[in-house]
Amino acid sequence: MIRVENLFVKYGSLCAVSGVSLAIKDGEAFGIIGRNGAGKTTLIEAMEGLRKRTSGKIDINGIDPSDSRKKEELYRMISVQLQSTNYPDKAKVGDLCKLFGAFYNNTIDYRELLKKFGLLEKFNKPVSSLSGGQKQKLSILLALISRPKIVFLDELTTGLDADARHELWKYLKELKSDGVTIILVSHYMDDVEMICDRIGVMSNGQLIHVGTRDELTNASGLARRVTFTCSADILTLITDMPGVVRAECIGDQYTVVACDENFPEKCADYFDNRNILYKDFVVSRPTLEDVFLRLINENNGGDLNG
Amino acid sequence: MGKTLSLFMFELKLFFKNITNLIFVLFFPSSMILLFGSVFGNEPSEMFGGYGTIDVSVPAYICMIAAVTGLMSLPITLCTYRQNKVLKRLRATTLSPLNIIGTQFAVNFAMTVIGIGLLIIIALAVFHFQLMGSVVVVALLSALVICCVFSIGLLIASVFKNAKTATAIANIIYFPMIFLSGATIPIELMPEAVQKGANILPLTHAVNVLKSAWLNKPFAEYSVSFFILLAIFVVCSLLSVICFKWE
Repeated sequence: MIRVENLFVKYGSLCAVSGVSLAIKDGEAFGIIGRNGAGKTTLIEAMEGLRKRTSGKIDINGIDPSDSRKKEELYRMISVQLQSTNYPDKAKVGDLCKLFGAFYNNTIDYRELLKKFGLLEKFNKPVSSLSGGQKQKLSILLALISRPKIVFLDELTTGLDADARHELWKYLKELKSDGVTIILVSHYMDDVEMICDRIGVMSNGQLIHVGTRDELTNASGLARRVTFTCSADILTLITDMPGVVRAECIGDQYTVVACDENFPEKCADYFDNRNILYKDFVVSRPTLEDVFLRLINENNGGDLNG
Repeated sequence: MGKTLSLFMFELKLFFKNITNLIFVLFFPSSMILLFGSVFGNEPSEMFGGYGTIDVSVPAYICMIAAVTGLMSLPITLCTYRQNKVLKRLRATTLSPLNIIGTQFAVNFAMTVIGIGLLIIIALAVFHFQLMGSVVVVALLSALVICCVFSIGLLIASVFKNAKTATAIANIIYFPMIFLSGATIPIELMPEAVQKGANILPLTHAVNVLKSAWLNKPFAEYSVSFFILLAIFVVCSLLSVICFKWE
């Protein structure tokens, strides 16, 4: 169980985390999304014991991460993958794995992990021979060697290609089914959507919403996303339609997000009545990104669209 | 294998993969001894107060080796690790902060000792030189010199956060220091003004202390230098502890 109560982290006069409270259950996968500078990394680094808090409480399975006497116990239980760690170029992949293995008892066989991540043939190769994606995989792999109960992953899939991301999602789902708690910070909505049970939305140092994907969608008030192609310039027309929250047009590809469930039908009728020609009319639920943008903008008090 | 020992071996391996380190710690000092020894021999020389070239060069080169590991390798590694978030990542393991920094210190210390060992073996084998002072005193003073130079390196690593800046600063401090302090070229060859000015360099005092102990001179003759080294060590260590940042 992880509990954060009324957490504040200040850098001088800047308040990076401002009054965050949060509870994460054992075995849960929790995602934190937010714009750059929203305070996501600061929040999890305070939870990881890597950043001093200004005030508030943090409890990681009964341990206060700022308690230096409990440091060993803490880092046997949790593991971290930091945003952009560059391991020494000349170090061999295998040596790094052995090194991190030596820090803990009861570790996973790193050869097995390397195999799983497709890095076994790199065992005797230096870090400099890895691609960006492989380096990222290595960084995640090193966080898993200790059989942690809680894993913190910061910007998990940065630099990974589509295949590697899908592979990683699969692996993290396995990890989750083994009962490992996962805390994930990401810019990529699909990472969070694929892996996380609950999602926290951060803005300006505050956790403005917490919930499942569906709960967040409900909170945003968004109901439908419609995409279609149309060669006429009808963006202003659409933007002015009732229920439209966001409309954008790139080339002849329109995307409309609306808070009215019946918007697709109304929209189609509207086009038919005015003899507007359109095709590839696709209706779906709002994406997490739609929801996220809506929640963030509402919180900023703006009617900024997107 | 213990976790600190594992980190030590890992870092030692990396040290041996760094060509610049190897050249300046192992190859360069030994080559200098061979070069100057073959030119001047180890006959008593008037310029060195009746001692041989090798006799006065070995203690000076010990300081040169300590300067490479302490002023270059140690701070540059630490700053690079800080910039690449390796320090931060290591901190999020079961290692204590003392383990992490102490291992860097220990690896460079060990390499300094290896460099000194190689130098002495070559000097002994080729030139029949002798240690005139006490082995224990020279060993202890060598340890003081290494600690003092390393504390300056730690301070550089603490004050300059960026690896590029730290490298530049390390170079700016290192090169004048090894050439003007007598660590590379005997200070007796320098003009008198330079000899006097060199007294502001910590390494000059390191060379003076080791050379004097090596030649078995009375402590009174080098006590000022000894206390200057001790003071530098204490002040730089304290300042680094205060200023050190993990990221």
